Amino acid sequence: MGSKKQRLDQTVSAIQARWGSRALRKPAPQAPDAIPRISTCFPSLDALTGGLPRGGITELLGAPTAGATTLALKAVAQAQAGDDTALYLDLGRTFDPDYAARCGVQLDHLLLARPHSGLEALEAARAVVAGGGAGVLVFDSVADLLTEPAGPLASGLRQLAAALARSSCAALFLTPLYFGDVNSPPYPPGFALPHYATLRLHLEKEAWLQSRHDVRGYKAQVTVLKSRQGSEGRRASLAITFDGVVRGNGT
Amino acid sequence: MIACLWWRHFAAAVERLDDPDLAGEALLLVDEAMAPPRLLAASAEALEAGATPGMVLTQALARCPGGQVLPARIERYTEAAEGLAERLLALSPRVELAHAPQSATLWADLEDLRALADAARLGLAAREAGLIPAIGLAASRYVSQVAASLAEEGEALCVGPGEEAAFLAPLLVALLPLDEEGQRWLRLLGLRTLGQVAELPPGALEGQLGAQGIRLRDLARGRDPQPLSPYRPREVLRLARYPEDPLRSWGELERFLERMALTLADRLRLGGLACRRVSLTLRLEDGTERGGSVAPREPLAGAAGLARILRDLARQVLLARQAELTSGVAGIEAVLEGVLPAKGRQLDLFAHGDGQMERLQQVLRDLAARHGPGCFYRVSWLDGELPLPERRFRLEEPQ
Repeated sequence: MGSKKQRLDQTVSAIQARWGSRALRKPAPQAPDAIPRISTCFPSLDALTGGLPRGGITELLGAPTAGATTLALKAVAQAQAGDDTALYLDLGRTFDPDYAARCGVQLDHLLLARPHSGLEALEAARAVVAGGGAGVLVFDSVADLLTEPAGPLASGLRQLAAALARSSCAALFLTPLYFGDVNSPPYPPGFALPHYATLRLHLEKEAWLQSRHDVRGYKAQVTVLKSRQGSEGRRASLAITFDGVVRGNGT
Repeated sequence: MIACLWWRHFAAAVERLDDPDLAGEALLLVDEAMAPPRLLAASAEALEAGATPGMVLTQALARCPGGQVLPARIERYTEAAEGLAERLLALSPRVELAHAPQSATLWADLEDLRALADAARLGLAAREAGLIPAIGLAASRYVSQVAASLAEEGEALCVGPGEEAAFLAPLLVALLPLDEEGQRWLRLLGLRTLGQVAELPPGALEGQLGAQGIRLRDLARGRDPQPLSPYRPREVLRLARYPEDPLRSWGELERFLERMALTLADRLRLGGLACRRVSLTLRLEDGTERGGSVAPREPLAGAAGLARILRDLARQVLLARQAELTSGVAGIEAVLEGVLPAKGRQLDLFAHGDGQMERLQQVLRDLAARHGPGCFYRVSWLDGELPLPERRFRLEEPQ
């Protein structure tokens, strides 16, 4: 073993001497919590994922009303509590300021963008991220990109991912699953969002929460589809309640 | 003295200037990009029939069934307003322009005592451009604006120095620059005229509206300390070249464009400038002209970047896929628009929290130059922090 390690070290040294020190390197050990993250307001989900990663893409998949928008807005509120500015790309023109405020979003620290096209949205997101203008951005939603030409979108996403990697901004992409099938999300052709996403979460509504005969919220189940924390396939249960303000369990 | 020139129905006036056959027609100018299409501006006839800007087109047509629907040409209206501002700049050292498709306002600072004669000259200049304003003349910006709003088209109303408060006193509070909620609030307090607002004790409005209250009281008394925000004409760098022999191959054209890019970059560098938009027009041997323009993602100053954009534009407009061009290029004109001082920017590798808003503003300015207005909004409540079941809000474009 010792000689094998010696030979490996010698080979690495030889390559580095010939091609430079960056030609071949051993990976530096990285602590699991080295990536800065934003809390989701749901401790069970934070325990599973460590929070939503900054400098990367988080994809939230779910049927409409499964809680993806609520989760995104709660994360925005958390980021704003840490003095971040938020950018909300509202492609579907469905942003509800009243609901956002009830989720704790500070509207004076939020910029709402309603671009004319999906490509323009990706470009605006890239420009804002590269300029260090936002700490969190929400892309609502991927389904609104379906009518756009595929090539430029794929390239736009690649550029956005590259800009994110050099920033401290967390990007949240909302992907509605109109038929509930997580295996066939509504992506435009060539739009490799699952590839670029650092974290992918699938939300499903489990049950309504009732108090006597009044609905006071609902329970949603989150399945981790992709994570660098090694928690793929694991699940967390979220309770979202409404009583004037929208609360996640633990907030 | 300040002269205020006001066009009540600016967009409609521009449409009529371009097509005199539209005179007397009820015009409905529609933003077709919106879904459903909405009325952006209307002529006096359409407004009288009940159509108002902001209305959905079907609603506007229900109120004004004979109205002629035209797509709003926002760029043309902007061009016309800027043209007027540039004409007035020849007559006054300081001009301010504010225009929305429906109306346009121009203020001109008349520094000497020959104000009336100067105002007449301003009016004539506007008339020569084919757009007849109503003119208000007063010592302050606000009073001149109110005077213009009361004057008829083609007339001037002059408020003498010291007569401002008496002139404003009987007028309605609707003339104050306040949103609908603010106006409603004044009406609830029983304040109907500017005279009543002017007579309020100093702290009364301040207590309710803060600094805005002080400003409103000052305005109602005819005092407006706000100076004019000087209008600056669009800066443009233009370079036209006519080769001795028409350029017949793609390679020749490319080299020619590269030399032009070097010249333009030199000019930008000498002035410490960058540009936001690049336009290219090619005059072909067969007598036709082809052109295009592009707004780069970020302000551009370097020769390499300019050359790349000019090449791409040329390919785009000539649909050049082969070495030989179908028609030789006899003349080339490159125009750099949106010229602005090129400022270096220190990027923060660990950008977080502090200063994000300022950086966002900077990015927004570039994005607005590239994609135009109507993309970015801030949300503000109309009902303050009232815990209403459904709170009302407004979307405003950031400044």
